[in-house]
Amino acid sequence: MMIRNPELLRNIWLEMTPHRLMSMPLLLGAYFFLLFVMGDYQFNHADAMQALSISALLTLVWGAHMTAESVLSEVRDNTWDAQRMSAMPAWRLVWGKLLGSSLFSWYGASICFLLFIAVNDFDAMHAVKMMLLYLMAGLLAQATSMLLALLYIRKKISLQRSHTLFFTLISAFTAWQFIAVSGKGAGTLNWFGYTFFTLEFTLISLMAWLIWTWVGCHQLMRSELQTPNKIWMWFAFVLWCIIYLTGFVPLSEVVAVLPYIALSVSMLMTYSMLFSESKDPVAMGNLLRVLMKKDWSQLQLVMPCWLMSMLLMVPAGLVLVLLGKPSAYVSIAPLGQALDYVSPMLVWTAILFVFRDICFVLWLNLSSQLKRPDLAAMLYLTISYTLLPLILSALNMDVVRMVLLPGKDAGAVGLVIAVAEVLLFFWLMRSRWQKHYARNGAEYGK
Amino acid sequence: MIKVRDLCFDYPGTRALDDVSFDIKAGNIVALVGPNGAGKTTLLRTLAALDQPVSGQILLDGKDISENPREVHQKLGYLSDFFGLYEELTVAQCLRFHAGSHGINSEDIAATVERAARRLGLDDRLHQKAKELSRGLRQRLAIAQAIVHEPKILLLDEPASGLDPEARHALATLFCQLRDQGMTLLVSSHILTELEEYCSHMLMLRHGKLIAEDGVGQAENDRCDMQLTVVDDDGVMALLSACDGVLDVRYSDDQCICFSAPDDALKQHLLLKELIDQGVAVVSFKPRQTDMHRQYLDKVQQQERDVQTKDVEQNIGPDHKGQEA
Repeated sequence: MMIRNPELLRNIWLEMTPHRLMSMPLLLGAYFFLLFVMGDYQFNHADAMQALSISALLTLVWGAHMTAESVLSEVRDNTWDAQRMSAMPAWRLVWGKLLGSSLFSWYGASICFLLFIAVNDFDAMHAVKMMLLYLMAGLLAQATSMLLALLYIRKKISLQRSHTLFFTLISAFTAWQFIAVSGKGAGTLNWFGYTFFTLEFTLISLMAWLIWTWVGCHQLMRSELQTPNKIWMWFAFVLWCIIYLTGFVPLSEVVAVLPYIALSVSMLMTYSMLFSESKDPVAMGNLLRVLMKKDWSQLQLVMPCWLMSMLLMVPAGLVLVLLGKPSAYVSIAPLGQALDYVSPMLVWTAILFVFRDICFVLWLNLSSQLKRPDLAAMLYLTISYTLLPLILSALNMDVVRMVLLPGKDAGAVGLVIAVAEVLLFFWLMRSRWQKHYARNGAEYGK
Repeated sequence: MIKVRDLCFDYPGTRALDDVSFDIKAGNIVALVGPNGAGKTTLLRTLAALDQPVSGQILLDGKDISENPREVHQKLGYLSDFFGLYEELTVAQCLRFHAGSHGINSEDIAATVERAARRLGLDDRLHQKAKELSRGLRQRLAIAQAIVHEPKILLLDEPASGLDPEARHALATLFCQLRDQGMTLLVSSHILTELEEYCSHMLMLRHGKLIAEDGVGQAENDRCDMQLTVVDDDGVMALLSACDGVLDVRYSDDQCICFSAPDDALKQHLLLKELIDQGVAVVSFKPRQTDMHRQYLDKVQQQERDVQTKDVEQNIGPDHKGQEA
């Protein structure tokens, strides 16, 4: 068979050595034989489930580790530039890496699947669904791991092996949630008024999230290959997240709750991308220059995802203020506490706090002293949103607390404080920007 | 073949390339020289469309790299100064991977791999793993990978670093062969004597600026750089400066008096006669050897003098204005 994907072929050369091809069946065979002997020379249902668990260990942990390494090791070993200069299209490189680097884990998982098929006592359809669940969870873990690695290398921070472990754990944990949800029993759930069996819904959800993760990998790989992406893909993803979450709300509540979800999702996306994307002065200078020139076609190529998400927050907040009603489901909005009524003031205060945080993060990123500005920003924000408000509450200093947290009863005072904070941090960020601009004489913003 | 206009590149807080413009014609080997931190690697990476500049235009073989970097990559080969190899793969596998990843048809891959290996003298090591190769052979494999798809332009960042003299000479021969086959090469290196072996032109970068774009060993128009050694140099500089046709009188780094004179034997004879008539004890009077190293140092000194002159003019300016006021 002729393999036309050079990246896949390279990974096969590296991963599927004769020694490895022999060792995996030997190891698994020995383990399953032990189970067979311990089970009075027969396999039972628990053994079938154990086979699935081992497949999960191989694909969710080992596979995810290898897919993250397929990107990180290239950067670490200085082979990444050669790949970036190859003629391979982004998608071919992505699937070559995803499948190729995890091939050995799938080789082991397929042995586990075979055992599961042979010894499970589910009905045939359920067994197939269970296998599909583990298979797709493995694919999701691997794709997530590569996505995180691709996001991370864009920040151009020195890479360590601990990063691979970190990405592996996050990815395996994320994918495992789908297996855990479906394993809670043969229940049902409603989505946009339709009733689904939990396992079937989990499979559909997994498939959808898997496709989006692949899309994410593809988009990031395109960026690495200097191929510009269009902004609509990010908007489509945010829209999908909003629709997916809204589906869990009873139909009668959709109109009332949709703006909460839209606002919460856009806030969450703003923060997650703010900490994931590069914010160095050069990238910001490019963005500023394009904005000043009003070059809209170029803007969609340089616009960071956090800015797009931030822009979505404003219309979402506006709709929430206009349509928002007291609702029992408001508690799903991650605005800090369960709310039975959201005042317009609180909505705008919360949005202003996001603006403040963005200015704060950018201000830290413009510093030439800080080595890890994003990590520092995360630490400071976590303290200011959790520990400090608790201390102030304990000291009965609720007015000062409004400086740190958008409070439910803050009203106009809270809004004024938030505006002042935004102005302060914007001024700090602008001053540092001008200092930077004056120092290197670059044409930023011209 | 390579056309660069007003290229600027920034790192956070630093301008790495400042308004760089130059042209490189097809079939040339051009040396890219400059001190550490001058912006050589940044320029090569920007030309290779690996990093995006802040502003400026780069045309490679008539194609704007900002519009379609992927298309440009097919015409380019790039060897980084810190290149990496797939250590666990054999030489043949490394070359096969690179040929495939550059879109060579699967039917042609074997022949392409063989040709690249033969060019670099690796054809007897095709089944050896990359990790088992010596420093020189690793360098050769990296170059073979960069040229496996027969690019029109080859960018090399310090290709000879760490190589022994024999391997360096072999590399120089290879570069000349590639040039003869129609390839255009831009080679960055600190080892100027080695560049002299094969480079026809030189680009000099300093503090991110292109300070000169010369032919190697080329005389400027109809002038000649001369070197004068005297017993006592007291007053000689002033005397020389006053002589007809003499320009740019200066001390070289080896403390000889250097100047630019007409490239004419009779005029040089008359100049020497005048110096002797004026009582200068001349020890030697000869055309200065313009090797690449000297050319580079001269340009650097000239730029420093220009900067100093500019500074002095700027400092004097306000005082004069003050006095006039």
